Amino acid sequence: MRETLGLAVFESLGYIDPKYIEQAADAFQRERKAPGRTIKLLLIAAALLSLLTAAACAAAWFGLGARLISLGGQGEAGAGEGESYVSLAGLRGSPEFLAAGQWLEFKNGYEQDMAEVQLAEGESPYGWRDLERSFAREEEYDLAVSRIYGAWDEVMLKELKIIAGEYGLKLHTRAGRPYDGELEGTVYENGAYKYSFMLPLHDSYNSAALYYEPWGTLPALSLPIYAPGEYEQWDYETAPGARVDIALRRQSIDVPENYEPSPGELSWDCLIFCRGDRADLTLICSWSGESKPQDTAEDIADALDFKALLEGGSISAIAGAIKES
Amino acid sequence: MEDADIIELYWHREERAIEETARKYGTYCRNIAYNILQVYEDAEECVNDGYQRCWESIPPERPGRFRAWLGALVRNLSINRWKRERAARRGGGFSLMLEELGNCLPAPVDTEQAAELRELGRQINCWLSKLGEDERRLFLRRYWYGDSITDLADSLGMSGNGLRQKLFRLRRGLRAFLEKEGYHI
Repeated sequence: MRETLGLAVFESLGYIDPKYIEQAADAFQRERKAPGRTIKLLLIAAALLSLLTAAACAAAWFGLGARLISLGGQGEAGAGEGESYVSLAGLRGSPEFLAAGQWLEFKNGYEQDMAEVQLAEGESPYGWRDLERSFAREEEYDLAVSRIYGAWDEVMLKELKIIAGEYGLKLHTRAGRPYDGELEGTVYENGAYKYSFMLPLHDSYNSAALYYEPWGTLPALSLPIYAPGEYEQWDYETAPGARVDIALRRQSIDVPENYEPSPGELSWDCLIFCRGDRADLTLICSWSGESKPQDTAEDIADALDFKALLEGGSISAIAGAIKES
Repeated sequence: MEDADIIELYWHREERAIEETARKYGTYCRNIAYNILQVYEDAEECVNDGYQRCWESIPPERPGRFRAWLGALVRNLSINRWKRERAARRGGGFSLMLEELGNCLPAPVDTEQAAELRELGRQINCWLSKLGEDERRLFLRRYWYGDSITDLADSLGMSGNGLRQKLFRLRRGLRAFLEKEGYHI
């Protein structure tokens, strides 16, 4: 009874003035102290299932060049102008890399074709998608993988299973969404995760995301990348002793001819990779206004304990790392 | 991208409108849906459904407050889905929140009658307008957006009990207001 009354109030709140909804749209933020010239990197945690050796981090060149999936060539790497993605698990030539390329190629092409057909008929571009997944309702596994990988009809589901089978990979069957303080993310049944968080960087906060992907399973997430040919790359040993590969790119901006933008007007995209012996870690972040972007990228890498993340165990809370820049 | 630009994309029937909506408000919508449904995949589907409804509604609509409008759309879809599957979903965070809200209403309302809900919404709107901004925001974060007590207490630096007391006083105030406005059993 009380639940029913509560539902009435909850539903009636749908009729209140939108300006109040708008005013309350941003969640309360915990008060934060300005970090000054200090990088405080709050890092997550999740249940990391794999036990990976630190030695695997001290490897050679495993940077963007070996992880770039350029569509149009069955997952072959390149730096062309086509649509490109970062391989979240496995380097070029690995089953994970090849399968991810093939799946993305199929999925993007198929969704675009279906949307065009719908639009040509004056329908919603998403109208063909079976949100209830009625085509997969008979098998729990089919329903789970359809939802997790965004297979919207039987054709997509079939192709997904064929690709995974061809490369001997598993598919994710469970995804969850834990909350932990300021972090938001998705975790999977094999310990894979993506966490999004705000990266405190000097006197500002910047969005960042960390991906952890054990090998042997086709990643459900994709990480598109713009202008891969513009990235400067180098390998680096972090203060905690992990070998990482850094890729850095200045974002293009429109400025009048002969105008030289100041460092404060420039923005940077950064990727940091660390490879274990059973999984890959990928951090993506962006920032503006740093005069020495290469140093900033290395500061960020130093502030993260990649080895601890790859060595796993259960990190049950947010681990903090503080680095004087 | 500004909301007005996104709405223009819808009016020009450019598919990018949905991408831009998802990019800007995907997390916002997922939070609303998840707080009601408590199941990741279901929330994701409601959000996708919301984008589709958005495409179907604009044009002719041109929402003045796009974020609030979109949030309300996803919220309604999530409530409808929750109702469809409520037998399997009894218990959990959302049910707990409804139990709290149930105490605010002095008399039953027919939830199938939109007019009754609209009238109740109008009364609650009137009550909300009399609150200070912080109290109003707290009430809506809990009962419109469905934030958990733990998250709210944490972000406000309060204890869970302190926050419950504060919400209890707000609900009691709403109940008294509704009684005064003629909601009696």
